[in-house]
Amino acid sequence: MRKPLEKKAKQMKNKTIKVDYLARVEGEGALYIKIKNNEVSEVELRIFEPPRFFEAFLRGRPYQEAPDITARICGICPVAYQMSAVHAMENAFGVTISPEIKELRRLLYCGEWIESHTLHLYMLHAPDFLGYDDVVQMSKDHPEIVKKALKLKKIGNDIMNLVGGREIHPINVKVGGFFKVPTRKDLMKMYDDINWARDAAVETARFAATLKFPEFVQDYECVSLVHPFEYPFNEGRIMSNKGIDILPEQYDFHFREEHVEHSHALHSRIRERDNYLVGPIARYNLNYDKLTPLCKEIAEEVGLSSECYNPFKSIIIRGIETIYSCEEALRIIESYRMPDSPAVKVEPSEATGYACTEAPRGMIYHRYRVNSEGLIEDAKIVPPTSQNQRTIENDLRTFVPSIVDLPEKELIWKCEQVIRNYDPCISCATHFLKLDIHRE
Amino acid sequence: MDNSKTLVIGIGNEYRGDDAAGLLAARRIRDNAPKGIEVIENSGDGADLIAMWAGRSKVVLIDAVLSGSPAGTIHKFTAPGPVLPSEIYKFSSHLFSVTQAIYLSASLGNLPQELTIYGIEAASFDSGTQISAEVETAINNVVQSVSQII
Repeated sequence: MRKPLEKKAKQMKNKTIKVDYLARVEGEGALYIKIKNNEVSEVELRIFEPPRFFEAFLRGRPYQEAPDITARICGICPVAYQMSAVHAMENAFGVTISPEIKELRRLLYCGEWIESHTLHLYMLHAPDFLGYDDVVQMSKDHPEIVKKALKLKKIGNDIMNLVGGREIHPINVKVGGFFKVPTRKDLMKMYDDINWARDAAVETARFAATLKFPEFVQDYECVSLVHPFEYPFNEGRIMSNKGIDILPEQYDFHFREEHVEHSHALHSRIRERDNYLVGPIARYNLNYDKLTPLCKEIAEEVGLSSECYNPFKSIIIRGIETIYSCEEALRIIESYRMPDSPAVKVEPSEATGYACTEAPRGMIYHRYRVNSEGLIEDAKIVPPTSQNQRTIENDLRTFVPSIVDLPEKELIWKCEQVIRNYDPCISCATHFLKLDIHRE
Repeated sequence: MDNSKTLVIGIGNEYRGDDAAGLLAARRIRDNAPKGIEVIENSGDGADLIAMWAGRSKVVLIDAVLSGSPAGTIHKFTAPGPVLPSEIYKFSSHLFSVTQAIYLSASLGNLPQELTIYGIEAASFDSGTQISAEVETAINNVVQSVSQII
């Protein structure tokens, strides 16, 4: 267990902080912070692993392979990748799917959100707040909490397994629908487990709210999908709290990616402004009215209003979104009607398709150009961590001056915690990542 | 799930070169497995591994590793053991690694009675489905070795 923050280091006016290895984030990354006269002069979140070239890998491949290939970008959020690919292809070829298929796709997202949020909340983020190096240490003092977390996560995986055919890289998804669809009886087998999961998720949100949060609020431009009737998974317009309201087709006109020297991951910006936020806080702030009554009740009980701008409190919102995912899964199963056909027929044509969906850690954008033979000529994939990278650096720039006098180890720990607020998936962003902090 | 069955878990990503070693070994074991053997492919999510092996008596896990040894080297460990070479698993692209899963499972008291881990030293984790010759040979050797203990 970490030592309490019992003493402050001798104040230094200039220092550089390096963290060579970022623990508990997906992949490997490094952080470099330079402090001059107690002001942060440089912050660089460095991503080292060479880009995966998934976009290049897709070129020349048949359009049908895009869902399976892109699912391999991330073992934690494969559904969001493959579903974005599927939606983009359907957008390109003008395919309309049945309401029953649409519901099954939402069920698949419920599974992914439950497993991914639970993993991050309990295994990766809670140890930060409770003062443990990792969940292995935490499990010695709180074995029942960890066992419950593993059970909750497994229920998310079970949903992915049932609908997706396999939990880690689902193989049942195809452009136009699914290869095979479950019967109502298949889905009902999960009902009691998901009922348990909903109650466990309520306890999860309550647990998260008992953690101690720094008073830290940022003026984010929140960007999320917004749908007229649904809390967003895989459909909607791209909206922001500062005026963006566009279709996924217009993404490239409003957002751009740029290469920065210190990172292999591209940085995203809003063209006419600057950095922005995607992920649970952005979704919650823009879609609070679409949450269920239970989610709103628990949010109110734990002291959340309809908006949140403290990134540390993202852990509570992950809990609220887990409740939502369980309730949505129950609703879908209760009203499920097996589709007449598992998929609609798809006729490829020369076209470009666009789609955005909501991965647990934020919005993903996919764009594909396909030729008349159905081969992919060009692909663009923008993962959530690329979009949040500048915002993470901005948070550090603002937050570090308030903790600059902490001893080295505590300072590094706090910086890592700021990064983990974002559940960054550095593998998705390019990838592996390492973290460095250095004082001068 | 039948807990009395021996479970073989192959870990990897088949689109990352030699990282597919565990998956390929698992598939070959499945093709020739005697009755009573269950084979699972997994991408290395530690939390899921715990759910898979909790309550099992005998589990074999096969994964690609990078430790600086010559490509194709086979590392064999048993857990719980005195020392787990966590460093060689650090290139797992998953947050919650195989090693962490073993430690967490040990802490929670639900490790299998017998857990054998085969690590196949990789030459390359580049994108693509190409397996290096040394790793190909090692996969066959691991398949043979596993068939003798299951």
